[in-house]
Amino acid sequence: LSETRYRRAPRALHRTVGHEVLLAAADRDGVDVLPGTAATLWVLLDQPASLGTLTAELAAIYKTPAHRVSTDVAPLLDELVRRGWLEQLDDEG
Amino acid sequence: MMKAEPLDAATRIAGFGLVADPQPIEVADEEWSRLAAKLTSHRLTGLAVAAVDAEALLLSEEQRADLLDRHRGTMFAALSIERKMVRVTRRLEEIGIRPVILKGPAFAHTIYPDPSWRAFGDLDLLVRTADWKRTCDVLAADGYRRGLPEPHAGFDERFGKAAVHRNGDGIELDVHRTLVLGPFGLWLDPDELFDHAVPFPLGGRELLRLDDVDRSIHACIHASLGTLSDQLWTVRDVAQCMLASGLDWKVLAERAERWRVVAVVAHAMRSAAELLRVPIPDGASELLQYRPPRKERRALETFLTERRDRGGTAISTLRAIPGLRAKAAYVRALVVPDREFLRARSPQGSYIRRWRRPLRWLTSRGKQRL
Repeated sequence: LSETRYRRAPRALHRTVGHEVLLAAADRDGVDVLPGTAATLWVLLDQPASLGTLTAELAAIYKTPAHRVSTDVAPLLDELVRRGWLEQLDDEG
Repeated sequence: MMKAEPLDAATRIAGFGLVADPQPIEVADEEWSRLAAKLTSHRLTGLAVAAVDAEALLLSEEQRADLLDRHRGTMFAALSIERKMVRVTRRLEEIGIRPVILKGPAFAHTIYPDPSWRAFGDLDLLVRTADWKRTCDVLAADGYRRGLPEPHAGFDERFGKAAVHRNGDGIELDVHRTLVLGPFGLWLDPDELFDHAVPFPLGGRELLRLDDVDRSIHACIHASLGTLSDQLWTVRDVAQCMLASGLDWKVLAERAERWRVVAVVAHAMRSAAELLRVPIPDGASELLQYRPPRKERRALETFLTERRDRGGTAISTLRAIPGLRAKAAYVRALVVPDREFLRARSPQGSYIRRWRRPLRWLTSRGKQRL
């Protein structure tokens, strides 16, 4: 079995400010701002984690059923990967 | 609860997280704008936000929102500087130059618990003296302009400390060849800093920073001798380095003595301990007991007194330059600098205008003696 885990892209320069995360990189201008849940997700990715783990942790933080959280988290992860802030790690389980 | 005066509150915030502060800090509404301005100018917004999170700083909702706005601004700036750092270091490495990152980003990412605790306003890179000219040339080719040209060809590499470079993006790039201007910069061996330098990862690259000992010495030099030495963040840097676990005090004492900066290091540590009310680690006791030679103490006095603004740095530099020919070259460059340097200092730049100031110093010295 393999489970995709996600990690912060090493190229990402970032800061946490209150409930936001600011992201920048050398190969592009401007700064991306992650608000709310996306910022929490970034903080949780201090260590690589799978969709399942992240969903469970977010559900606990926001006191929401996991199945409701997962429908939001998966596209958020995809978007962060697409923008180059996260990378996927395919681990053999 | 007693409400703190802005300066006292800013000083206590500068020491946040170093020692337990028994009383939370509370600020009167009418004092907030003064404190907020001070936190911003002293680059302490990150420490203030951390203090709020830890309930060591009690703010109203409005005050908290204002603080976060200010902090967001400083962190946007920090990220822009880090982006520039990655780009510039990559560019220099393409031509075989590997700079050492000084202060800002290197301190923020390697000594503070969270990089947002340490704000910074420019980018400081140290290059080897042998790479100085090539570095300046490649930056010029890439559109950078020096803030001030060197007074005379070769001056920078013999006697200079750093040159500010700008390319219109609003971020100053300070290229250093040594850590400080004047005698202390001449006494230490900048190439040795590269021998000790260690890697740290940032922005997908492996960058270089000063090792823990040199970083601590540099923090002390900056806090005691820098032009921004009245800034609380410079003192916080000293305390942060001083209280870091694993600092090899024996090696620090050996290097400080060899580079003749014991008086500087001791002064910075005592100032940080007194201002931020933090204990000086036991390991530093040997260093603090050492009595530096008179020459070293006099050089420090030059930086700490009004002599600094009256030609004191130039005079103490002259004393530290070994050999008559080198002393003559230094004096010549300062007394009769190139025309381009004069024009950059002042559009009406003339030699008469340049000589007027030291003549005034000499006259006033004479009057003081009478």
